[in-house]
Amino acid sequence: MMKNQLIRAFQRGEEWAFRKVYEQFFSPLCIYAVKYVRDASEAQDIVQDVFAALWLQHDNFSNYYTIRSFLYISVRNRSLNLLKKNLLANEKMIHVQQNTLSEAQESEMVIETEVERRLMAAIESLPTECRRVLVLSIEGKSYQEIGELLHIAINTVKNHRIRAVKKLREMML
Amino acid sequence: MTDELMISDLIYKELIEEITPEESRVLKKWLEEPANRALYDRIRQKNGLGRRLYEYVDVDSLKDFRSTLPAPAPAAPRRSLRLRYALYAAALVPLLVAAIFFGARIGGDGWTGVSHPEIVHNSEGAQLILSSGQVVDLAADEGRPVVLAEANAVVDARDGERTLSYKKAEAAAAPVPEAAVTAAPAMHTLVVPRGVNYNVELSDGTVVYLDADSRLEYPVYFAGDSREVTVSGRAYFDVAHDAEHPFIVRTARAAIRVFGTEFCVSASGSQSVTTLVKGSVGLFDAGSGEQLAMLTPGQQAVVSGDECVVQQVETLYQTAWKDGYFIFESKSVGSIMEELSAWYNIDYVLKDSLRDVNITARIKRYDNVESVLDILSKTRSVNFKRDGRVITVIN
Repeated sequence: MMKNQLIRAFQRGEEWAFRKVYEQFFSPLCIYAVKYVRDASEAQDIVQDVFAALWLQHDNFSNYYTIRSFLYISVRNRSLNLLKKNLLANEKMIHVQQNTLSEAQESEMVIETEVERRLMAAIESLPTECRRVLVLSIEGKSYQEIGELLHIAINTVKNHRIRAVKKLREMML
Repeated sequence: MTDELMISDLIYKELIEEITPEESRVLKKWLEEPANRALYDRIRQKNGLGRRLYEYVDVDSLKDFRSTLPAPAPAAPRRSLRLRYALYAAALVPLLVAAIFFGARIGGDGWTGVSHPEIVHNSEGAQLILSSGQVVDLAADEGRPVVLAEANAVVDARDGERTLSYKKAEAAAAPVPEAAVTAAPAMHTLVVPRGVNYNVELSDGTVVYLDADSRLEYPVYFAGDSREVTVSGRAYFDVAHDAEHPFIVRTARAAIRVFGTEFCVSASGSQSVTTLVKGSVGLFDAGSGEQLAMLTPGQQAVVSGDECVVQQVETLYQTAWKDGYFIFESKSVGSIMEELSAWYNIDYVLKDSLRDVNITARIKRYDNVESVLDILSKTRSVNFKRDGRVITVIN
């Protein structure tokens, strides 16, 4: 299944394509939103609303990158709006002030969320041993160290690593 | 935003070795900034990645989500003991009646769940990590004994009984060979995930009951002057008496020193709660080694921050889990849901306004989650909505 196929199905308003995007992004975006709003149910509501908005204008998105930007930007804006609203309501003033984020922090949050999202989604799809090899190598271990840790030959480590990387490249999102 | 997303793509591509030379140059440039470099290292080292893998936990996105949530608000100050017991007694009677009438019924009027697949507690998924880092899936051989030989230890794992035994058979109790005495005994770690409980009998005959979402690290046999293990989560210890070799239980916050006794430990993060049932135990600071308290039966010590608070408790409530019951005694909905979530491996959504509502109830742990929620909703304090494995608590 190619990324392009998914996007075309998405534009045509086919539900499976929407579900695919939803599955891939829902939790990571909640994690992202929680960092702003510090409340699980509020974060979830925000992300839910953003997906509703995405679905309403599904024919506007010509590629995967615009969908992704839309999701992150919308979640960010809605989170900030909520914080502002709470601030105005004067209710959670102390709470909000404590949690004001710098621009650099905001950027880091996006990068971290997105890399982690792709890695976790990809890693999940790998067979167990393959998965362990990949994670250890991402953590900076050498083939030899991994082999010793997992009690497998260096060549097996290499093969797993190659297989893992190949599978990840085939991943859709 | 586009910049951040572009960078995230470059990092991902680099990790899976799909980066082009041109992209690699852009990434290198970005990494020149020390803050960026720090972020990059953090992502690669993300200990969640490797840890989750070792524990073999099925990656459940909602669970990841929950772990990022702000910690629950601290519990409200406790009422005086006598008052609490009175409340408990008063509340328990109607509850037990409710349990008899409604307990077995699914979908009673207080319960808004429709037809979902049953969520029951199960006994699969406990794992043993050997000193080599190798992971043994204890559920794989259900019913049959699994024998592992490592460093002169014979492990008898019968998953059907959810027990692991290191106690040597009479024939195998021959003196340990010279070579093995000089080498430190191999360490094993028993990892009990959510939805499971497990017992382990150590080489000295001490039995440890591990609750769901807990782990215990111990040597395959005890050597040296003391018997030492490390626990996180919740465990009940029935320590074999041996005056010459004190038994020491370590948590992140405390070291508990005993000779032969029964007690319960729950350790999470920076807090460590020790409840003594029988015998006597000494409590020491994990860092300084300074003595914090000596406990007598019926006492509970809570160590958190710089404080150690000792109070008299009814041990029944602290150890009920071991005998197959949930006993909640004016317990907050927040901690009740936490306990249910560990036992039934469910996720839950809970509004802050409901977190501190207190409930008293005694419920069989082995029932399915519906029965438990049904009984809880009979208290009229809360209600539940279920969607797959996610329970939403409502007013």
